[in-house]
Amino acid sequence: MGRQPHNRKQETCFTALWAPVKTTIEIPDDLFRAVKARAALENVRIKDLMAGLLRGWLEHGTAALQPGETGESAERERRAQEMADWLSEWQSIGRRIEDKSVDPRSMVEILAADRR
Amino acid sequence: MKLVIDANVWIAARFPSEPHSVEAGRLLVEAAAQGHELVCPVLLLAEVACTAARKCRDALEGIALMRQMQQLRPVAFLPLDDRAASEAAELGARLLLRSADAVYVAATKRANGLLITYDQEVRQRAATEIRCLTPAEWLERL
Repeated sequence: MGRQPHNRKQETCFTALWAPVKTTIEIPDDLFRAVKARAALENVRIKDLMAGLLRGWLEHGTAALQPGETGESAERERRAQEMADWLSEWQSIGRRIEDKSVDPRSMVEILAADRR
Repeated sequence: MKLVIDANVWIAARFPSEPHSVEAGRLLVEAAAQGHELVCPVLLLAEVACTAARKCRDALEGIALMRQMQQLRPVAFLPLDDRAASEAAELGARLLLRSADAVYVAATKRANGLLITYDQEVRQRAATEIRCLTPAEWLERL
């Protein structure tokens, strides 16, 4: 039996029954990069993660998602700022060391030589 | 995820004249932002202090850098006790590592973490035991 060229509904059903649906979503760039990095480190596939989140939402509604993008984002920002502040002081001491330097090598080179 | 950060990354972030300085600093900020636990063998403190003091021939600057390191809250220092030393010795002997490198590899294995280092020799020799990335490789995955 030949396929009806205009029977689009039938083709959609066929796809849904036999293959996962592919779709496109837009999310913030920094969020995607963070998800991608963590998924790689934890050896989780993003599509599995998405499926799990969507199933959770279907079963438990928006309550399952309430911990909140806002809270997580603020916490991330706080941790980044804390490290940046620490790094600023770290580099301030580093500059003093540079000003007093009597060894032309970088500290990374000195460390590498000490380990050999 | 626990990230074991080699002294060469901390030191690279110290000053722009160090190789990979910007990249090392970015790694530290991103790792903290993402909530990774940063782990270092306590040997790091001696490495930082001695290297700084040798650079400027000033003990006080070495100690200042070490104390700054101790103040960083997201970092957990792993003790170099008998067990850690034995694990480092066995791994170091088996993988033909340098002694300080063996301490980092053992710490990474015990923490079940990921070692971030610029040391290519460690990366090659410890590849069968632990996961190692350079800061650039880790950042590329973001």
